[in-house]
Amino acid sequence: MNHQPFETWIVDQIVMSADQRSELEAHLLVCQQCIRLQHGWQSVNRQFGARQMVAPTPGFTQRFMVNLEQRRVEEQRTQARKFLFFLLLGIIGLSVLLAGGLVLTSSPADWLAALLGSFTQAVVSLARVERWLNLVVQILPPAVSIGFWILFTSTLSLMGLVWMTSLWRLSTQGAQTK
Amino acid sequence: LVVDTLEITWLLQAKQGDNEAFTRLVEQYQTPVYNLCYRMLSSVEEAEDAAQETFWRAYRSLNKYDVQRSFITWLLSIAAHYCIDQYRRRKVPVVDMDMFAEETLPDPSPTPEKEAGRLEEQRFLHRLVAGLPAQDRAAVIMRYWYDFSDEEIARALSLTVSAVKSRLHRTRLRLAQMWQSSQPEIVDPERTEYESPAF
Repeated sequence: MNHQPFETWIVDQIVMSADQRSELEAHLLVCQQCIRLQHGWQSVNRQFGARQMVAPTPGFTQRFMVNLEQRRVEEQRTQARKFLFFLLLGIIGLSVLLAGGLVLTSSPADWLAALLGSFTQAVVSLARVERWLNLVVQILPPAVSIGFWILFTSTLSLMGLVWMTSLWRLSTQGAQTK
Repeated sequence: LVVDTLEITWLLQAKQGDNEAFTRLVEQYQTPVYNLCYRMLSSVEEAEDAAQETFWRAYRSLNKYDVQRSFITWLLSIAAHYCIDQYRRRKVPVVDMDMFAEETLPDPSPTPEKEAGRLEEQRFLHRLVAGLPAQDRAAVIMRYWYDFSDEEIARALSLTVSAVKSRLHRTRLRLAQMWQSSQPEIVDPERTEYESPAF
């Protein structure tokens, strides 16, 4: 037996014309399957009519706020870790690139010579700076020299402190975004 | 579920980073969001987690939200997508029957038999809904608990309107058939209360 369109009329609750209604009633007199479907749908629909909203346990918003804060901190940490990771990756990549360039353009003997040359040059430059600083200290009057040294060392310490604080904040909190 | 001026003010404030305004929105919409998650996942613990996750996702995506759209539809769309993913991930469906008993309204003049029968019918419907495929379940919940139109359901579940119509039809048919075949003694309205099933 063909149950269409009766099944659709029963479960989709469409607005039926008088003819359609009579047609459905006639079909229901002879079709047990559609009668059962109609009874089933009426029961289901009745239960839907008595639907209830289930509320969360009290304190949902407070739990959300605590959760939100924890997630924000975790997100900032993840962001910081990502930043430091990519920074490190960049440095390593650049080093590999430079090393690769060196391997392709010169021999190991050349690198060793260049390395020793750079080291010697650095030692010589350091000695020059030391001589220059000694000269500056001797030329400047003692009072000015002490003041300068206090200022110089204070500035260096402050910059070091700022640098360390920035690194610490970056690694624990990440970059703040709104 | 009407978007009022106060809600738009909260939304605009929240979009500018005002956590207090977002808290008000959470307060306002916690029940509909939680209810959808609970109907989808059938577990109190999972519903709580899913509702919390929904609000967190909404908080993070707030700058993408268009205030011209209904906020509740947007929120429920996030919740539904999350619950569908969660439901597909787990292998064994969970049905928390105790909660179904607590949520039902007390009958004003109950006889013990009537009350027991009513509760049993409620539980049975929830079992049937819990057995539906995730997307069909979401469509049914949106229609019957939130009175969403086909268009709203389609938008929320990223489906076409015709797909929603067809899913709802298929699901109603399935629910009616399952109800009738599994509980004939409860649901036959032709039979009187004390009549034997043999007649």
